[in-house]
Amino acid sequence: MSFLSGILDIGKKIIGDDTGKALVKTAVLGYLLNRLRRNALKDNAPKNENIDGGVRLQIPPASDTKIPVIYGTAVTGGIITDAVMSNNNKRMTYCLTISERTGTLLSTGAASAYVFKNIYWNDTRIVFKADGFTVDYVVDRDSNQDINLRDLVKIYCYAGNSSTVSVPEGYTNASYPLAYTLIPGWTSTTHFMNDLIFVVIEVNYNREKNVTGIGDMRFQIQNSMNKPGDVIRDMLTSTRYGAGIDVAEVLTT
Amino acid sequence: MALNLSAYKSIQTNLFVKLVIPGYDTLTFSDYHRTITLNSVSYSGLGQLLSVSDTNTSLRAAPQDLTIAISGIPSTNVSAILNNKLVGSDITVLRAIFDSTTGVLISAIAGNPVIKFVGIVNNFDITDDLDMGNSTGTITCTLTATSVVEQLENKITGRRTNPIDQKALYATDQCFDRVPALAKSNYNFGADR
Repeated sequence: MSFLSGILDIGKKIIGDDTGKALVKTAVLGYLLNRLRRNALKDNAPKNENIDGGVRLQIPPASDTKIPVIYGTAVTGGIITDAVMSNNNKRMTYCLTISERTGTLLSTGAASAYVFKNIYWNDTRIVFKADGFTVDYVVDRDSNQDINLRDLVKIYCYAGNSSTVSVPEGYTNASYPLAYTLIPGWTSTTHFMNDLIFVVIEVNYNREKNVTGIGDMRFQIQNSMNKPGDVIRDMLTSTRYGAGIDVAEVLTT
Repeated sequence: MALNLSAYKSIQTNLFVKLVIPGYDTLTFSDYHRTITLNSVSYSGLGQLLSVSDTNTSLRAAPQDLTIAISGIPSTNVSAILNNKLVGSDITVLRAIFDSTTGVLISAIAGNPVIKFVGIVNNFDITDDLDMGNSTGTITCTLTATSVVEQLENKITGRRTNPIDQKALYATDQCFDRVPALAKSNYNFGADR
């Protein structure tokens, strides 16, 4: 027995044959109209299902932050000094300024040299792919590996200016991209980042892999200027971040 | 420098101040009860008329302030204080250790006297307290000195992450131009369009 004939039989038993048929016809008509109306509304309604609202990010204010100076080896964060999001909201490219570049070493006469020893994302150490900038996986304090960031995050390191790459320790890449080619709007003649140690980070959004933010970044950086005499002289004489005392007025012997 | 005092049952310490005022004189005085010569420098004994604030000894090069107050200054000498370049004077404070029984400097201790503070006077204050009932008054000169480390900290510059600082160093660099706008920006990272 079908659903409709069942209703018809019940109608016959209760209120007679003709009246039951009329009632059943009315019910069927109403049902069909309701289905048509719901289909029409469904076509016009906004598609709210499976829409990703994204994650609201606020860039920390940084216009009055002094750029630190790193001597020796230090683990430090950075200051966001530029950020650009792609038109589809899925890729964030930003610049983290880490440190001033220090001057020439009195002890050797060489310029300060920087090495990115380790890079950390949310307290986990990043291991790059062979190119030295694409994240392969991260390792936590218990040596557990997590591949969620794989190919979604890229970190490019620079020491000195936009054209001076600093491939992280343990990697080599002769075609490491220059900084001004990575951030939309940057050019080789307008964005120099002179005398700065900085990184450019590209994060590709992926909710399934929990890559929804820019991460808490830390960098273990080694500056070859680490001797007290070199450091004191550098702080006394630098006009960029030091006391700006004339070099001739500082006794070095 | 640490001093080994384990062999002494009782000691007393006194502070000795050397103030080099450019174009005027080098003043040396102490809170010892009489004039004494240390390292070939004679220090006038001001006793309780001199007070020196505490300082902290730190392994790190931390900035410090020191306040030196000298009471009982004759009113005729106030003009000398006002007319000379006290601010900017070099100041050195020594701590010397004496046998409290004999009042003699314990020379057996290596490093005695030891330097307590080296700095520069950066402010001074003259207080004139009048007691009308007794027709007396006390003039106190208070010197505030800062350590060399703090002087250096005050002198150092530093580039801030804003376009003004950046362009002051590199006129055509636009790297920090967007920082003020970014400071209050919100991004819906990952939001579907």
